[in-house]
Amino acid sequence: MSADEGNNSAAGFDISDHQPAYVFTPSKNSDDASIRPTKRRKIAKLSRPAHEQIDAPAFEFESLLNGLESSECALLGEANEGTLAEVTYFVQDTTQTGHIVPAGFIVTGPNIASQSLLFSQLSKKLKEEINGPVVTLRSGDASNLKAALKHLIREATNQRSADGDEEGGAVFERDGRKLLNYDLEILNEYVKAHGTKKVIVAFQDSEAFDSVFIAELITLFSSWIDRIPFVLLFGVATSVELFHERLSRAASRSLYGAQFDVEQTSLILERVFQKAIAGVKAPLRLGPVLVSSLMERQHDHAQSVQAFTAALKYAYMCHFYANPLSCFNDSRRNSASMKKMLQPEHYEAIRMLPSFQMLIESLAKNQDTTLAQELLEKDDVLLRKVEKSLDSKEQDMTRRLRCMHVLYVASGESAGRIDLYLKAFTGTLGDSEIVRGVLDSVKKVSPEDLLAFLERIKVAMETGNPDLDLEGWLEEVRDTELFQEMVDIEKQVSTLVNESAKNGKPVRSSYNIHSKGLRTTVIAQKVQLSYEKSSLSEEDVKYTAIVDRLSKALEKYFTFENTQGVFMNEVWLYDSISPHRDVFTPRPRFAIERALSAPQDYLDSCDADGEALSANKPATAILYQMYLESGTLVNISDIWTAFYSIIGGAAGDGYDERTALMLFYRGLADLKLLGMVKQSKKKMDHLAKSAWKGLTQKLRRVAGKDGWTSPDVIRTSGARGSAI
Amino acid sequence: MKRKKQSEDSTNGHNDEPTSKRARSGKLWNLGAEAVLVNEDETTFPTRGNDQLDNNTEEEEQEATPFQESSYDKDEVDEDESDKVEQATERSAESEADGVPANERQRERINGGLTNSAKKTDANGTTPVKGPRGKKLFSTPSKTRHTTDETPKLERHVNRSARRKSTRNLIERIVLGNTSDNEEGEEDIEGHIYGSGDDEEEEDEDAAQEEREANDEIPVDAPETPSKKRGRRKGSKNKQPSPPPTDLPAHELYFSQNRGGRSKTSNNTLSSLQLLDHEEYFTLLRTFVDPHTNDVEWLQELHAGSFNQWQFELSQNFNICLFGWGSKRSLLMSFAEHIYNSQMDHSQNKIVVVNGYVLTLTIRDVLNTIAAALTNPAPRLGSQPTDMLENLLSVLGEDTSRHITVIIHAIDRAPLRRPATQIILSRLSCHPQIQLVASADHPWFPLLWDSSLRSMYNFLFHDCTTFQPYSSEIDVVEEVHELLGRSGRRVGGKEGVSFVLKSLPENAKNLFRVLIGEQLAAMDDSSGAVYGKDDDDDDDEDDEAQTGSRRHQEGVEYRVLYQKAVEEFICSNEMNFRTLLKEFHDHQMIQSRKDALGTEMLSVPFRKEELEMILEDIVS
Repeated sequence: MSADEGNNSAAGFDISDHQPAYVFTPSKNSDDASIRPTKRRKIAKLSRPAHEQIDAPAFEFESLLNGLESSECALLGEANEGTLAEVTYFVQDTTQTGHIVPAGFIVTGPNIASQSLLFSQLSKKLKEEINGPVVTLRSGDASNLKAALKHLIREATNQRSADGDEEGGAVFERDGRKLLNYDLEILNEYVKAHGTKKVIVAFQDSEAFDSVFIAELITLFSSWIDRIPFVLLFGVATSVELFHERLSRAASRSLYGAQFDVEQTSLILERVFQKAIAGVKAPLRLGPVLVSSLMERQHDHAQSVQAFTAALKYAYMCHFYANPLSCFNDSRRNSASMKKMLQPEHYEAIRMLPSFQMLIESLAKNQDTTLAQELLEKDDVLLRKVEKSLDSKEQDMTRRLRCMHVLYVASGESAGRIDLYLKAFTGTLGDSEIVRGVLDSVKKVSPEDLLAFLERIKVAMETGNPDLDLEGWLEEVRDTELFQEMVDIEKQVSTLVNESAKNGKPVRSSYNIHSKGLRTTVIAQKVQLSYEKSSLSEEDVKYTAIVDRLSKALEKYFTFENTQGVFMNEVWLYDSISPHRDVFTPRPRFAIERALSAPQDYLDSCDADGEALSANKPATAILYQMYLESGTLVNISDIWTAFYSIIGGAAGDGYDERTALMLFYRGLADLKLLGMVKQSKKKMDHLAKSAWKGLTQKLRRVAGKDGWTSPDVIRTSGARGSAI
Repeated sequence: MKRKKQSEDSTNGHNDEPTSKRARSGKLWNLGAEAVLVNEDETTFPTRGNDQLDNNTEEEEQEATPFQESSYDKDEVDEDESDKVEQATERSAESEADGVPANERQRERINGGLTNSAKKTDANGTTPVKGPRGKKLFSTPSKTRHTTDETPKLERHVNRSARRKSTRNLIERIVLGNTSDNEEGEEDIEGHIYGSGDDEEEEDEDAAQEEREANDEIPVDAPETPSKKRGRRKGSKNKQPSPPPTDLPAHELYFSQNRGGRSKTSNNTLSSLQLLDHEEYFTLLRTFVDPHTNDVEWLQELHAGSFNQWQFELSQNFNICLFGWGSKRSLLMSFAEHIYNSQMDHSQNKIVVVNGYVLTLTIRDVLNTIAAALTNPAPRLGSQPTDMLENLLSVLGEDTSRHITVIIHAIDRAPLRRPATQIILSRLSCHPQIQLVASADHPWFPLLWDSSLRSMYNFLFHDCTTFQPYSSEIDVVEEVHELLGRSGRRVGGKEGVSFVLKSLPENAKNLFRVLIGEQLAAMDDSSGAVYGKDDDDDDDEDDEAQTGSRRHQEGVEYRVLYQKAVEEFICSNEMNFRTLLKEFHDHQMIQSRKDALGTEMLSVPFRKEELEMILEDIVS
């Protein structure tokens, strides 16, 4: 088949290969027919189990995705809701005075990728609310005045053409003479005919327009404003001041308007994150590695929220497409239906999980060999254990999230929620700097502030967090250790406060001493210290003990185990970044360089003996190797000689000269396709080299390294500075 | 002496402007100077000019005497030595001419070095005499001629002062018969033979190493230095003739290749090679059996294994972009078939294939074909691509159960590269009823899209390295001939031109003769300038662009040609002139191009030799 097809592609000149575009119809050649059945059978075989897998959790997977998408869309809508309402109000409310055009400046921030969503929402909303056409101009649509006007008129008049085609036709003629299609007179007629109140022109990316052109357009609009009720909207990525500077004075004089700020992407992102990743109801948790890589990509490449949600969606897709155990991840499961669905392979797969192995190991360590054996041998026992662990996982998750919320509140809402999430899931939250900071501050606060702090935590427990879908859980924890401790502490502290109020002597903990006053010399500090120590009252000592108790209790509360150690975490935790890296941040240059410089990685018939130039590599790879070794100028004649000496018949088994030349041609044309060579004008028969291997990769690595080292560098230098 | 050397060092070091070739060659040669300074200070001074010579020698004598007794001393040997050196030079020159492989040359050189050094150690013990050395200096010219006659490249460089200095020093050393310098000289020659920038790097490294050595050792026991040097020298020399280093880190390699300076390549041309034409190419291709066929097949099978995954991704409103080395045409076509086979209702679901590599493709074709796939007869979409897109999307929106899969081969090729086109494609692709599967070949294709386009496309990228030949994507022969600057072969070579000319009237022939004559004259001017420049200046990008554009302009201005034609009574008015030119245009015998100032330039797309032959044909 291969030889046939090769010949076909070369000899049988298929007309469709060189047609610009055509509608696909499957080839029904007789020679193809012999191939296809086998192929189809193969694919069918492959696809069936895959389909079953999708089908099985389909009810669950689809609902999950839909849930995510709808909630995220709602979020985006909500985020822009305020802006939309303001703009709509502004548009409705404006009345023109003289030749001044009302204009709304929508400051969107630098993320141009989210502009299109905002403007489509805007035009949708305005179309609903306002009697009049809404035209969105993009810099790509209109390069000059004429094109912009054409576009504007066409968009404005076509919008209503559905309900009245005859009017649309009539507009173009007036008094028997035809109007040019960029004459605003047409729009005027249209406005009169429809009784339009407003004509809204939105410039989506106003920075990308030529400033002269925008100024011209504005002056033109202002001269028509007595007949056509224009309202302009500008999407401004920088600031209104900068935009103003770009305009001519005449143009800016004929504008008046208001500024609208759009909620920044990072805020929206955080909300999406809370809802979709950290939310209580999320059935699938994303691991810390993946989340941090997603966040990094988001920050480094200033992507839109849509790109982020697409990445999230892809994570879900990967999990449910590639992991057969994802069928356990269904909140509505019960053991009966489970048993029916599960195949022996599922149990086999569970036993292969690293977390299962860890479980067995720990059982063996605890001398609980019977259970371990049963788990290994009996499917029923295993299933029960799995269900139990999945149930406990729900509680564990809830506890984690509650704790995160408490910590967030306790830290005075300064800690980033995303950061908290990452730490909570790697199990490093307990000794993270955030917790440390909270505990330290608890030790130092005055009793009054401590009471307020306890109250804050209580309120947090009572109300939960709607963003995380977290409901208040105060009732549940009434009898837990921490809460009891807190109540107890609160009581003691309030008595202390009362006493101190009577005494008129403030109570403070021993930790609070150093922060009071600034010492100029070491000796003074020492003196002060001893003085303070000795002057600690009984209340102070008591209070210090209380504070210590609280901080211990909190520390215990904030400590978790790493999620990766929990049995069955593979079912509800997805933490693999390689599919995302491959699929969202492609490295085409690296791929091509690798293919050409190491074809043995792909083709078995090239031996991998490490020799860069050998005749059994594809022609282009040989040529590429020579190309890499040459300088900026490549003599074609010499490279041909070298090429022929490798591939040619010197050894007796090579190609003859003409065939070698044919391969040389092909390789050269390939290199040209890749943009690696061009004709050099400097010398006859020379090529100019324009690509070097491995540069992007290197840069990336260097950048990554810098990113890692710099904080350390700062820290060490800081430490040194303080030491000195 | 140490002080002097350092000052010399510092001046050399600071003068090294990376852009100036002169300075570089000075530096390059510096290691020679360094060695000289180390071994025998006095020899460098004569190069500074005859007027200084006397003072320096005096000064020299005072400073240098302490070691002279022990180290330099071989008057009797001098003659032998210099003979040997001559031989060695001749040998290396010969080997260069014969194209003897580098290692052989090296072996010879090592042998030479060994014998020389042996000679030298024998000769220790006699006192040097200043006089003869000075005389030798003036006897050098004959030797210079001797050397340069055989290495023409050297001759050119001798004319420049830095080079002159280095050559003179080289000669000095040869004459004075110091062995280690002798090697140095050969290295210098070798540098010329090798010619690539990488050698310079090695030499620089060497120089650095020598400097280090010099700094370390000389102050301690200067008299010993020469012999020590010799020993070390051999070691460093062994790696010298190895081909340009390939194991440098990527960025080092980039800088070493791009450092400017001489980028030396041979002057060989392909004139002796009979190039392929389309017919021969395809005949050869048809008989050619690719030894990798099975592996290539296997790769495709491997990628085909993920068809289901791709389909799933498409169903989730993602679009797919394939990249990687090799033609992805057949892979995508079998994916199309896979989609087609999995679709139940072929009237509602259509697959449209777009060949992005077809040069005549426009975005209108894409939109019209999609529209034609939607409804029959195809709706009229309008003429402006943006209108067409709007209309198409509204037609599409009429029935939301219809789905179109658009397969674009080579979305990054020239016909679809324009930003406006990409915007339209991205807006098309983000419609929920459209699924886009594209392939991209260029290594830098992601640069086509900014972040807003990227989020519109919503691409998932898959690495599909297929190793399949781009058989229908590239017109191989045409592309290669363009690279070779032989696009004139389109007409059928110069025979074709003569054939066409035969059928044209006398006037046309004359006009063509005038055109060729003018073009040849222009070529002579500019190429002279270019080649002269090439030798003098750095090969940096700017320079190339400049000379490149100059070379490009070596046509004849339309006005000038018209004037000439009128003067020679070939035509009487512009109309006439145009008609004549049209004939040439039709046969692709001339090219017209507007330069930066907007003046129209006419040229005949042949190389100089061919033009000369054509001219001879016409005249005879």
